[in-house]
This record gives sequence, structure tokens and C-alpha cells, in this order.
Amino acid sequence: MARTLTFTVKGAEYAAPPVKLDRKKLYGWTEIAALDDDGRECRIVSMDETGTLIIPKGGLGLGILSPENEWVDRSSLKALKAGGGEAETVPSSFGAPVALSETVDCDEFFNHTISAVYQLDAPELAEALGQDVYVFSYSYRDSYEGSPAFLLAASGSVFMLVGHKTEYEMLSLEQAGAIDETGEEEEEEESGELDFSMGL
Amino acid sequence: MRAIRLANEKKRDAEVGFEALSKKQMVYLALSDGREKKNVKFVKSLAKFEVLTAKFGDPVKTGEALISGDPEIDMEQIGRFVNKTHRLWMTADNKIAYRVNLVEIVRNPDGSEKERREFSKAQANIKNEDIPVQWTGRLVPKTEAMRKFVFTKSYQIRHTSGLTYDFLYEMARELHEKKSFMLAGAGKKGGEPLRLTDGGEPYRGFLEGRIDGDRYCLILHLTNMELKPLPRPGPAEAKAAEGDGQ
Repeated sequence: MARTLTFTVKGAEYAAPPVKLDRKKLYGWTEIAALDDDGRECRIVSMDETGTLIIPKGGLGLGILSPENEWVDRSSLKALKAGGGEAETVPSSFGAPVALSETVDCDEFFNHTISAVYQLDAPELAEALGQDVYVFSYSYRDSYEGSPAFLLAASGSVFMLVGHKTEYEMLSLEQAGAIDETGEEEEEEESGELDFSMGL
Repeated sequence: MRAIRLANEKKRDAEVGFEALSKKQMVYLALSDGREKKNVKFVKSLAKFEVLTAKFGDPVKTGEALISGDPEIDMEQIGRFVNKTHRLWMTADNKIAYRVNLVEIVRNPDGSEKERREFSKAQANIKNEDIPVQWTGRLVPKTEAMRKFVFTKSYQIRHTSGLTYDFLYEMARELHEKKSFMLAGAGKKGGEPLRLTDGGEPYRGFLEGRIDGDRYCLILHLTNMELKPLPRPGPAEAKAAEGDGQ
């Protein structure tokens, strides 16, 4: 059963299970299939640098070593804050009602890049939010770091947008940059609507 | 910093830089004594069930072999550290495919196949000498953009000379004053989505500008998704979902 998030807004509680939204669910998606000369589907595998080992999908593991190259169990690691000191545990947002009190304007909202979006089917919550955008620290499970999350009403629904803060710089004339493309590898009719299916 | 060729309102264009600002890691994992850990990749498994079945004849015989011994474990190789790997294609007969035909399968939101077409790698379109990324003139107020699109990538645009400083400052000033985003698109009329890399995902691009005295900040926000609710399931789908939940 889907877990429920509970929010407290202006003294009232609202609960709803968040449903993850993604592009696939709204528009569909494309995938690439590789076929051999007989039209049979091929699968992708990995080969090590010596060219002697063929490793199937899921055949690589990730491990942790000490500086002395001794195997380290993940459970023995400890979380440290970048500024120093041990990190405290942030409880899961599903564990207790999330009190919403801090609102943000659109400038602060756009200082964040969004990595996940959830829809909450809660019309009363949408009404309580009105035009306000609330921010809180979201954590799916008990962890060491919450993520900034925004709760807003749009198109008659409530959306929770989870992201991370981006520190943009205000640039002066002296702060010119240099182009370096080495790390790159990574006529239409005007209409009122933007096509978001983009080739699907 | 990578290059992007941008045009302004007067259709003047210039090559400027753009960069993604990385997320600051506030918490990290260390060894119990506080020292830094090393992450390694190792070989976990080399065997696939199909390969073992081909070797032993059928699934029953494969099962018996797994019970009586460890045919899936190659003692010489399992646990070996791997630095760099290369990807390659394997045929259904477990042979390396030296030539494959790539097909793009388009799927509907429900997963059903909509179309199959020959795969062609779309080229990046942000550095085109003849057709720069266009300042389309389509403004979207920030308050509206916030409730309309999901911006999953953003890049800071930076000048590379005194001339491009003036060029970008002016764009940022206009957007700052209008409290709006500007749709920036590829193609002659700017109606095409942006592709930052060859074969990369297409995105709708919007420019945001901020100024403070003689300093500016011009941001390219990218989105490939509208902020809209999922379509309500039909009666048959709703019934199926109800069954799943029981």
C-alpha cells in the first residue's frame, strides 16, 4: 500500500499518498533496440579493459576499500558533515506530519533544480495552499540529508517538487569565462502550444 | 565551459559559454575512523542463466548442477577489480555482435508500442554557425512558468569578452525587468527543442535574467515535462488497479 504524507497547513491536517510523475507516464518514451542481421534482439554487456572478460548486465558490483586496500562493510561507514562533525539523522517525512510554515517566491524557487515530481490527490490541500508555494525539507527514508521540496497547487492538483539548490553567480565584466569543449561528451508553424511530446 | 550560440532580440548572435553548477555535497560517508574511503568496481557474476542452460542442456539439469556445485562461479575471475569497461552487443547465441541495426521503438504512456523507426542520432543544435539559438519573443511570466513546467536542468550563461558581457547583460536586464522567462529555441523560428549533445535528449529552453547594478546572471532553464496531473484512468484501468491493490 502506498505510504501517505501528512501536511499541516494553517492548523489543519491533510494527508495523501504521493504519486511519482515522470515524462514516461505523461508522454510515453522511446527505447533503442539493437537487432542482428537475422532481426533478433541483441543485449548489451560490458567488457573489461583487458578485453578478456565479458560481464553480463548486473554482473558488476560496487565495493568499498580502506586506504590499506582492506574490504570495508558499508554498515561500518559513518556520515560526516562537509563543514566537520558527524551528521545527524533526518527522519523520514512519512514518519510524522510535515508542518508547512515557510513560503518562497518564484526567484527562490528558481534557485533550485528539480529532480523529482510527485502528484498528491488532495483537493482540500490544494485549496489550503492557494497561490502560496511552501518549502520544507523532504526525506523519503531516515537519512542524513533532506532535500528541499516545494508544495504548490496547479491545474487543480497538488504537486511536490523535490530538488537541490543551485548557487548562481552574479557576474561582473571581469568574470569572463573561457570556452573549453574537452569535457563535452555528455521550419515550424507558430502555434500557441508548445509540443512536449518532442518526437514521440 | 561549453559554447552556445545565442541570438538576441535584434537577431544579432554571439558565441558565449555555459556551465552546469554542481550540487554541493553537504554530507559524505567516511570510514569509522573518519578517513576517506575508496570505491571500487568488481566482477560479481559472469554467468547468465541462459548460458548455463546452454551448457547443461535444460533448466532442470542446470538446477541440479547449481545444487551439486558452483558452476556459476568462476574462481579465477569473480571478485576481480575492474577499472574501465567497454560496452558491446551480444547476440541471442551469446556471441559478440560486430554489426547491429539500431531501431528506435516509440512507446505510449501505457507501455504499448506505437511505432518502430530506424534510429538516427540527432545532432546537437546549440552551436550552429548559421542558425543560433533564437530569442523567440515568447515571454512567460516567472509565476506562470513555476506552475506550468518542471525544470530539471539549468545552466549559467557566461560572457567570454567585453562585447559578450554587454550582449548578455542586456538580455538579463530585459528579462529581469519583465519578471519573465523567454523561450529560447533551435531552428529558424526557434520552435525546435534544444539538444545540448549529439544524440542527447531534446528539451524546451527558457532564459531567466537577473541584474544587480552592473552584475548580471543569465540562466538557461531546461524542461521536458509540463506540470500537469496524470490522466485519470478509464473504468477498466481503474478496476485493474483496484485488483492490484488487494
